[in-house]
Amino acid sequence: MSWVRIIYCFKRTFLFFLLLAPLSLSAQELPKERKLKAAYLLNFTKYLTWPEGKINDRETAFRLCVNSDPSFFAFMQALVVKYNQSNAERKIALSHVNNAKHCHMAYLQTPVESFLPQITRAVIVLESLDVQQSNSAIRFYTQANKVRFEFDLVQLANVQVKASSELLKLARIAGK
Amino acid sequence: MQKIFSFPFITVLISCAVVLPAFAQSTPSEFAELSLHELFETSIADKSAINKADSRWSLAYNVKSAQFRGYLDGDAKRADSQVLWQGQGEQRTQQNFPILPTVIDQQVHVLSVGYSVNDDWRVHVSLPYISQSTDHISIVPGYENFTIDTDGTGDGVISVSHRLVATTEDVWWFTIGTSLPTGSIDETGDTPRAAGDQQLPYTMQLGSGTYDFPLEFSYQSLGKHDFSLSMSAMVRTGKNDRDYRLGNSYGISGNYNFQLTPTLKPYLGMAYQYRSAIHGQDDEIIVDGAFVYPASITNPHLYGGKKVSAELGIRWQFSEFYAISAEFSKPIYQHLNGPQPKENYRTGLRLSRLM
Repeated sequence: MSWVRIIYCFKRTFLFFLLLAPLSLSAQELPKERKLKAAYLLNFTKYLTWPEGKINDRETAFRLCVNSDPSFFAFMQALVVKYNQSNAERKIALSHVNNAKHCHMAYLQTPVESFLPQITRAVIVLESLDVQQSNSAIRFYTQANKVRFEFDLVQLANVQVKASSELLKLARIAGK
Repeated sequence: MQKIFSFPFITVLISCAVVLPAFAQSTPSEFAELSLHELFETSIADKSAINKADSRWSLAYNVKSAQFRGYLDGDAKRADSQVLWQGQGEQRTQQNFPILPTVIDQQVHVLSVGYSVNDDWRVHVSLPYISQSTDHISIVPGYENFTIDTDGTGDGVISVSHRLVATTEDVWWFTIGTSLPTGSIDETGDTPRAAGDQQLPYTMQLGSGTYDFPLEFSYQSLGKHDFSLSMSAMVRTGKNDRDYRLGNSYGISGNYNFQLTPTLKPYLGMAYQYRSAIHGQDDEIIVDGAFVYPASITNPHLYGGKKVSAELGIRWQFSEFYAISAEFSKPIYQHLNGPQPKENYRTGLRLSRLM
């Protein structure tokens, strides 16, 4: 079989598969700013400490709840899959806020009812300062083209969650 | 000379080279691995991919080997002495032959290149290099023991994978591809059929000679139990230049992975495969007379069957991007359209650069 034949066969098939390219390219790209916020959420789970028993023995998964558009949720889902593959000891379970029984952390792109029982004891993270939601403990904002976040230490204390000093060093503290 | 690169082909190729990078996206894997401080330093205005793990390309080198030894007719063993026709004094039937392959060794080197268009779509191209050797015994004077070797490129495959479902608990992928007839079906060698080199039987050829379509549905559980299941098929179409088509094959397999350490993952698996017989016939490898097949491997009906194999393997991710895995499988049950050489074992060694 000559190389001419090999190249000829690949060429014919390559042209066929080019027809499939538009399908794959139609997937909606999430802006980088929102991807970074999703990655921050994963990191927050490492630098925040929940009280003993809050993540109880019966259910060892960390429950991250999200209220967002489908593209952010899909990206967050992919991130969590990757995280869970390399963190066998404590997995993250992702769900929509409305579908969750309880949440350790709730990320809100748009406001939800403040008295939803599943988020009353959760660390509430807001996608931006524009999201009008009471009881939020962490709020993202942008500064000089970088994603930054502010902490409301009172709200964090209300849900009995402690932030590491490393995390606090990077945060803007609300009210100061 | 055949014109390989026509103007329209080059135009399309250049267009794709220009357009594809514009659609390049950063993958979740890249973001999942960023530390808090890396996130803090990352600019949202920076259009380039993040510094870390920004390649969408993957490369894999696979070495597989298989050995076939001994004979089965259905699931009943047949000794070599039963399948070899001893000549005058023994009745010749459709079940014995004057030439008998005793050991078939195959080795395949596969180079694969993958491109992750985005999190849901991947494209793969692979090209195998095959070398195989068959030891024979025969009753033909001068050919009592002989070996035939062939080697060269096999059938290249282009495939597209699409992630159907992804949750934190499981992932479903569907793969469809085209196997191209790049492998030779005109391999020759010195057989007892005549003096000099003649066309070799189907097992000694390097390709199928037809455009074939590999399909696969795969499922991976990412929950408490790490296991994967897949259903695959190789659907072959038409007939090649020698007027035959290799049999379709269908398989189901499953692996259970154990997390020995964060980087070392042994696994156990089972696989079932059904393959149909060859359709059509290469008339150049048969002989005149009442018994036209000089060896079992020249009879297209004596191919295919069912097989259940047990597999064990280990995967070691020895750096952030590179992994190596080794696998051994052995059939625990075979029911073959026989008499047919039975599979003894298979091995595989794979070095891959992770996406």
